[in-house]
Amino acid sequence: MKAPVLSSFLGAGALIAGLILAGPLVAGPERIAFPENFETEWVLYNQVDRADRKRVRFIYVKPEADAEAKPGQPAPNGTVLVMADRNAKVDADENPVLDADGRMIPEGDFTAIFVMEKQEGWGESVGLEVAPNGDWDYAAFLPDGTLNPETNTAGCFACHTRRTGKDFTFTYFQNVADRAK
Amino acid sequence: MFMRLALAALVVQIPVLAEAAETHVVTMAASVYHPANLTARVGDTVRFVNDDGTDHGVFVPTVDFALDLGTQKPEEERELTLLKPGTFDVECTFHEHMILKVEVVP
Ligand code: HEC
Ligand SMILES: [Cu+2]
Repeated sequence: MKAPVLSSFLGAGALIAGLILAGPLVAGPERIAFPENFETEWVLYNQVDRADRKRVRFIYVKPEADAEAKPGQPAPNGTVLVMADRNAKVDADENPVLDADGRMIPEGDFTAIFVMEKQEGWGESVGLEVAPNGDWDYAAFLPDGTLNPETNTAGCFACHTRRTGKDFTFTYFQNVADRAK
Repeated sequence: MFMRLALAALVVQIPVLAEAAETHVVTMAASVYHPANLTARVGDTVRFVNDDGTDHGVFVPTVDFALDLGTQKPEEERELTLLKPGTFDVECTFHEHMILKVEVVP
C-alpha cells in the first residue's frame, strides 16, 4: 500500500521540480515579441463583431507560417496570431451602429493586442499537464507595445483549451479549412 | 418551355414571401442547438434561447459573418437579425461540439 503512494508522491515532486527548473525560466508572455507592423504586413483574415463588449476584433496571421498552413492540420510551428481590438461606433443609447450588412463600425485606435504564438517545444516548457494547449503560448499587449501587467495568461490557456479539435484556435483552424473550399 | 414558365412564376412569388420576416427560435437544452440546421431569409431574425442549466454562447467564425454575442446564461435570450445572404456556422464558445449551420437566402 505505502510504496505506490510514496512513488507517486515522488513522481509529483519530480514533476514540480521539473516545472520549476524548465518551466517558468522560459515559459510565459515574455518570450512572445510584440508583433511589429502587423497591421500593414500581416494577413487580416477575419473580423469578429463582439456585440456584448461593443468592440470589433481584427484577427491577423503572420504570413510566412500562414503560407504553410494546411486545412485540417494543426498550424505550423512559427505561427503567430494577433487579435487587435477597436471600439465599435455606438448611437446615443450606447448601442453599436450597424452598416447595411449588419456589421459593426470600428472607431479609433487599437485598444488591446492579444497574441498567441506556437514554437516547437513550448508546450513542454509550460508543462502539458498544466496547460494542454499544444505548443502555443499567449501574451496581451497594451497599444504602446508593452506587455499588459494586469493580464494573467492562465486565463488564455483555460479558454483556448475549449478548442482542442481546432488546434486551440477559435478562428484560425476554421479559416484555413474554409478558404480551401 | 414549361421550365421557363415555372421559373417565371417563382420570380413573381419571391418578393411576396420575403415581406413577412420570420423569427426562428433555436434552443440549447442538453448542450445541443435545436434545430441543427436552419434556412432563413434576409430580414429574418434568429432568437437563441438558453433553455439549459448551464452557460452557452453564440459565436460565428465564418468570414464576413463573424461575431460573438458573449456568454448567455440560463434563461437568457439573444437575437440576431440576418441582413445579407450566405451560409455560416454558429458555434458555442464553451462547447466545441455545439454547432448550428445557417443558410440565409435572399
Ligand atoms: C473567455 C474565454 C477567452 C479567454 C480568457 C481568452 N480568449 Fe482568446 N479568444 C476567445 C474567443 C471566443 C476568440 C474568438 C473571438 C471572439 O469571439 O471574441 C478568441 C480569439 C483569440 C485570438 C485570435 C485567434 C483565434 O484563436 O481565433 C487570439 C490571438 C487570442 N484569442 C489570444 C488570447 C490571449 C493572448 C488571451 C489571454 C490574454 C486570450 N485569448 C484569452 C476566447 C478567449
Ligand atoms: Cu454550449
